[in-house]
Amino acid sequence: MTFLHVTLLAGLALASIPVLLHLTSKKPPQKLIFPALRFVRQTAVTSERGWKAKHWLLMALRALLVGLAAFALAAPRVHSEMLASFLSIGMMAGLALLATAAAMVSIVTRKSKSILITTCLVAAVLWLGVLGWGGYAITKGKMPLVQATSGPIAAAIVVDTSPTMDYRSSNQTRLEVAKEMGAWLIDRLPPESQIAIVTTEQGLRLSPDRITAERQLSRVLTEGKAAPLRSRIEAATELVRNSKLERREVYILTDLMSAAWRDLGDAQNSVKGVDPKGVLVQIVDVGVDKTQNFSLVDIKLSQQVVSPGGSVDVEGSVFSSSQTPDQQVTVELWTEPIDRTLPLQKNGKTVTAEPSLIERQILEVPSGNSAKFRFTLRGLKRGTNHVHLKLGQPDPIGLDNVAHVAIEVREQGKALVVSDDRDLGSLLVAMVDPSAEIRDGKSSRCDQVDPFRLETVDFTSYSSVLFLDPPGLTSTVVERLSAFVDSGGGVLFLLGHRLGDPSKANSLPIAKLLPGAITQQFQSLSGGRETNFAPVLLSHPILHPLEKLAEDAPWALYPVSRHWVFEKLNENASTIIRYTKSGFPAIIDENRGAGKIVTWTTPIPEPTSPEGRDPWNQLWNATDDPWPNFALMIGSIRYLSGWGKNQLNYAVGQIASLENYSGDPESYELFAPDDEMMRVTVTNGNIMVPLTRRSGHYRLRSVGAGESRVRGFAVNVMKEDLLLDRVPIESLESTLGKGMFRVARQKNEVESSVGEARFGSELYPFLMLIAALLVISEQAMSSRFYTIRL
Amino acid sequence: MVAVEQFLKPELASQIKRLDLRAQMIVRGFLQGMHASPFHGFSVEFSEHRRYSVGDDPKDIDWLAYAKTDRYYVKKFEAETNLTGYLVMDLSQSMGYTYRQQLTKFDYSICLAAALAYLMIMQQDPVGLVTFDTKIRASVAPRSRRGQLPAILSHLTKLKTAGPTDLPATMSQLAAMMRHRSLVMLMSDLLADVEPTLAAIRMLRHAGHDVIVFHVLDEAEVTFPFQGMVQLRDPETGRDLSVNSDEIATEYRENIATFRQQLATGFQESRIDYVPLDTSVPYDKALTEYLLSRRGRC
Repeated sequence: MTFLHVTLLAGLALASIPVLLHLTSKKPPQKLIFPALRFVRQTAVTSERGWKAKHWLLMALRALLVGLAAFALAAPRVHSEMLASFLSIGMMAGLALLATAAAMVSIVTRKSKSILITTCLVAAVLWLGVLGWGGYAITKGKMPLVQATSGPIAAAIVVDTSPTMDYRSSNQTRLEVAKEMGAWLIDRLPPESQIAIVTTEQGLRLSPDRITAERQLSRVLTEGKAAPLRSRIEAATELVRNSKLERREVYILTDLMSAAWRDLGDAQNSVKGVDPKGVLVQIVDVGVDKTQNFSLVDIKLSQQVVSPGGSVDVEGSVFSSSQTPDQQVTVELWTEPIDRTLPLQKNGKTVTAEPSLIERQILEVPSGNSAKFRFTLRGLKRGTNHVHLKLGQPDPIGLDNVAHVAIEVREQGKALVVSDDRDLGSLLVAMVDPSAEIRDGKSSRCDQVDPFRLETVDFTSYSSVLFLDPPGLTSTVVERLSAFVDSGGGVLFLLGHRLGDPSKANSLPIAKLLPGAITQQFQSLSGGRETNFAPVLLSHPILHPLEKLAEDAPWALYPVSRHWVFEKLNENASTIIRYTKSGFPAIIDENRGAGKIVTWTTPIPEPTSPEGRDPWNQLWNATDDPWPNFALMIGSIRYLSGWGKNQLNYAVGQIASLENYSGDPESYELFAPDDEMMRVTVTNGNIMVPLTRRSGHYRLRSVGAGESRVRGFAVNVMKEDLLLDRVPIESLESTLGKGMFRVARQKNEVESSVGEARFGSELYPFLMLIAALLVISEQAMSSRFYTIRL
Repeated sequence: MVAVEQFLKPELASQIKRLDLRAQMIVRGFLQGMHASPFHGFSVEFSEHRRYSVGDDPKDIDWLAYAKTDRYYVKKFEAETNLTGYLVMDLSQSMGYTYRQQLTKFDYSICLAAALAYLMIMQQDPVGLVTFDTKIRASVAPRSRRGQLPAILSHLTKLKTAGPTDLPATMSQLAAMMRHRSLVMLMSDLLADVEPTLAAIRMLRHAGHDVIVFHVLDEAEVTFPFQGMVQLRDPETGRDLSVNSDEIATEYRENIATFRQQLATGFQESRIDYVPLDTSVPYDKALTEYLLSRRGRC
């Protein structure tokens, strides 16, 4: 228990005045001669006792009244958690008073011994309880958070910058409400207070400059990733704790959405530094309870880097928050034209090419669920293509109504064909680089090598390696190939007879790179039972060259009589083409590390009449124009060559890294989505951008003489950062600790809560109520003494 | 002009300084009222008016009748039997008490005694006076002659209250004094225990005397008009008692009523007439009681 005006407790001494008056200024009764005294004496004995008892009771009432008034004026305050305890103690004290009065009445009226003992015993027990409990509550109970009642405050204002703070309600975003509340809080801090606006975890500093703090607060923007409030609170608490000022307060302006609070941990791993004795932690809830929102999330690309003229599938979902009703939503695909003169900075704004609408889809989005969409971008031009996905109608959060996609279109990297058949290998080389002149089985963008010379080949200088009917390979080659794939390379296996005995195939080193365990080798009997290709994943980039003809292609014209069988594929492998009769996979795509491995279970091109064996298929030789299979090969080669180390699409907060191609400039200017510019230099051959705090397109433009080089990447908000689920207070209690923080919404609530936290709960109203009761009792009792009869 | 009946009120009668006049006015007021009262039948005491004739005492002229008829009439009284009356006055200190500072119980008793004496002398009854406290202090032997009244009145005016009282002893003494059957008119506040008081007065009755007890209390002793804390002192014992009068008033009144009721019951058992009075009660009540008692004996 603390007092706002401790000095007024001296007024308790005034309680002695009624006692002194009672003892010293006793008015002598009127003296009268009265002969019939014998009849008075019969009644006077009990009356006089009662009168004396009442007189003492009246004196006690008056002393109590004066003492209570002094106590109330001293404004006693208790920790809000102790309020119930103190009220209970007060009620017990009231009962004790009543019991005492009853005991006195019993004594005066000479009630039976049992009644006398019972009332005295009850009064004694109650008074003991009051003294014991009250003593314990005062000495051991929780004290109000802040002992000092005046003076400057070290205040840290933690601002939640999560994407959900963009939620607009009543024509204000949550962040705008938070800023308003923050400014109000700053305004109400006492002079010479020190303030810190916490929107990060590092470099925090308390500043006595109020204007700077207000300006800093006004500049806060939402970020694309949920704010790590745990670390911010810890940093803020530590900051104010180290302040020399006695009063320390941390305000958390948040919408209490789960994303920002999910890293708080549990009771065992609670937030450090939050304890009630030193720092007042006040959460200011600026969130709304009923929310409706659509988000563009889970954006996936079939490829991020493609060859000129290539196509890319863009998939994604429109997610509806749980309280949003079923609704029809339009998703639009916009692309920016390639303009090498842009971006530019003009009047503090980044100027980019104007996007144009390409396609629009209408989706039915069920409440609390998502609806998928898929666009195909075709005929992409060389350079970084910036693509926008937009929702057709506005909703409370604008940040997630746009998704950003970056696709780089450039010439495919150099390929290596591994074949012991020079002629067939040259055919593959021609497929890789159709326009080039082939000399000695090679072209300018495609080498050819015999499988037995692979030991000396440096795979890292190629973007893809194509194996035509590979043998078992050596362990060394397999390990290097594996590293090559992991780092982003592409490998194409066109499996054929050279793997040898099916029963031993799984023990070969090459088996480590295959999409599963070989279970058998399918072989059709003469006179039929050949099988054919059948597309499975029509949207897969390998099938893109076929465009809409993938299903209608005359696959039956190209029989396959022998192929390897993978009955069970690896986890990251998927069947692109299957065989018609058995359903076994024919073409398999497998993700490995940053790279890809595409496996054909039957070779192409296969000689028409191979020496000493039957051909495995007629994919290349059945007709004069094996165009579907040619398209599949082209698709496979493009797919693999485009899959490089370059990742162009990131989630907010990820470190973006782009390979700087040989010959490209070493320095770039970064144009961030919030119109900020910064210089980026190439480190170890990579353009590194560590700060991706906001979603949008990040554009890079080379600095220096020569032709300007323009690169770019896109950053999007993750779905989990947009969840509009409010955190229950119980969850906060388990992590911040029960009673360690306070939550308020409106300004008056904040004022009351902070006041309560600073000084505890006021007992004044309750004391005044008791005082009023005492006044009534005193009046009632004194009127018994001083009745004036008219 | 104040009507003579008004002098039956003690506070008005007390304004007349001379006791003889006061007694006369009381009795005249009483008798005047009787003409219009249900007690008109008490004409045994003055049977009729007759024309004044020479030789009559001019004092017997009824001036009221003269005022009405313009003729002189005198009241003609019946011949009385010899009913000897004793006015017995309590001289205890408590009898000198008055709360309103107007009329003490003793003053009231003197006035009443004077009126009774006047009335008895008027009826030619011998009347005497006895005063007592712890013992009989003085006595005027009963006589019926007209000179008796001034003697009694003269004695009454000299009386003063002082000290305690001993009713049993004095009643015993008084019983021994009276040789003939007499009418004892005791005027006392009887502030003593009930049983000894009853026993003492019963002695007179057992000795063959008729007794009328005029129990005179102060108005304050009956109504207990005090407020707030008061310290009360018994004038006879000197003992003090502080009380909250508001709290005990009701119970006190009940106690006094019980006390009077006990006395009334006790006296009734012994065929003693008991007249509870207080200093605010008009004298006619007492006088009527006397006349009723006298008629009962005739």
